[in-house]
Amino acid sequence: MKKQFNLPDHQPNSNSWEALKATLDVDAQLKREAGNLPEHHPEKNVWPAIEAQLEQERVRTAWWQWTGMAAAIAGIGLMLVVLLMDKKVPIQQEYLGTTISIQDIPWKTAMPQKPTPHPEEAGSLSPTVRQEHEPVNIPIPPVLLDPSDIPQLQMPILPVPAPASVTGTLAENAMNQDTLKAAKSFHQVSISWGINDRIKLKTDYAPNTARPQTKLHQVAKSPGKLVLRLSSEK
Amino acid sequence: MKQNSEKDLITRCSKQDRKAQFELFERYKVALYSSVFRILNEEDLAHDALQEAFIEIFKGIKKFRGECTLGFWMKRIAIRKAIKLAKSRILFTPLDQVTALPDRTPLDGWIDGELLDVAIRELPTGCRSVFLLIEVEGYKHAECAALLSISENTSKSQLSYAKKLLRGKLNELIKA
Repeated sequence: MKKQFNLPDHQPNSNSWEALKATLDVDAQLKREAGNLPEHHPEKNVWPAIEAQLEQERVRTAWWQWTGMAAAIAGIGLMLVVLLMDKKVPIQQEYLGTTISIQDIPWKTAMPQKPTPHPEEAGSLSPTVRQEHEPVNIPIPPVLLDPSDIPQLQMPILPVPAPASVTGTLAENAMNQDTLKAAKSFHQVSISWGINDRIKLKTDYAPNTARPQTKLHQVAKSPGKLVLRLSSEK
Repeated sequence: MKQNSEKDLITRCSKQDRKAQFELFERYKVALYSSVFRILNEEDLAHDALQEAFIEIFKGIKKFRGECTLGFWMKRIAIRKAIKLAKSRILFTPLDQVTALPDRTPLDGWIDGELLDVAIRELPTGCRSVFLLIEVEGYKHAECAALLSISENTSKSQLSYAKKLLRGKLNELIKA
């Protein structure tokens, strides 16, 4: 090579080789070349696959939206139908008409009959309202008892209190009066005719305040007959 | 100019504009595919990961608020998809069983990107993933550990192990 110009030479630094050797360091080279890694290209059919999947997602989303809307409309329609049907039910006149019966019910038994409504009341559609001061006149048929069913009642023999040895005190007089009052009668009878099929008889041999109530005995059902049984608890 | 066009692209993509989506795909497909392919080291799996990543990107692009660059946000989604696909395959070599390797030995020559790429692909899956995430993608150890479901210390030790292995492999490749 022929020198055309007399240019001076320039010397590199003395540590240039050391600096060059330092670039052989693994970490430095890895850092530098990590950004220069070659690119890899995907295949061409990736986009059609993505597009198809996006389209599928779009169709699915649209389907759910339309289904949701249809369900909402159907729900609203159903609610409206239910509301309209509810409005038809409570008609006042029909409701009142069911409470008043014009037909006479043929009573074959001796049970107490309901008083027949007055014709003007039956004809009108207004409800029957009974005033409180009006007396309830329900004819009660007389109960015919068979004499054999009537038990013979015997009064209990009550112990006669011994005559007081000491007389004159106010407390003893009061006690004697209480005893005499209690000796009169402790029977308590409850009878019902046919209103309640059960006939119950309660009896006590002492005042309610003095002794606990005795056991109640239920009389067996016997329509048409009245049976009274008395028993005492010993 | 680029930012404006990118914003416009995001807006159009969020409206499910197919042309805008294709434009976004064309712009980022190579970068995303390269990242997932290096992690998975298998073409079919990498294509699956890329496809799933783009579907998720198009679905969630309306949530992108611009805290980072769009490319970084997209790459993170793609890498997450790749790791999810290869979760069972990413195995970490227990380092107590590894024989000691020389630490500070320099390489026998200079390398380029092609050579490094070949050496990286020969690494075991666990330390390769750590090396790629930290040295190539720029993640911190904490983020890498969270992505791979490992501890930060494991991430550090696996990175050191990957570098030692790379040194040996690169020296072999330089001599070859």
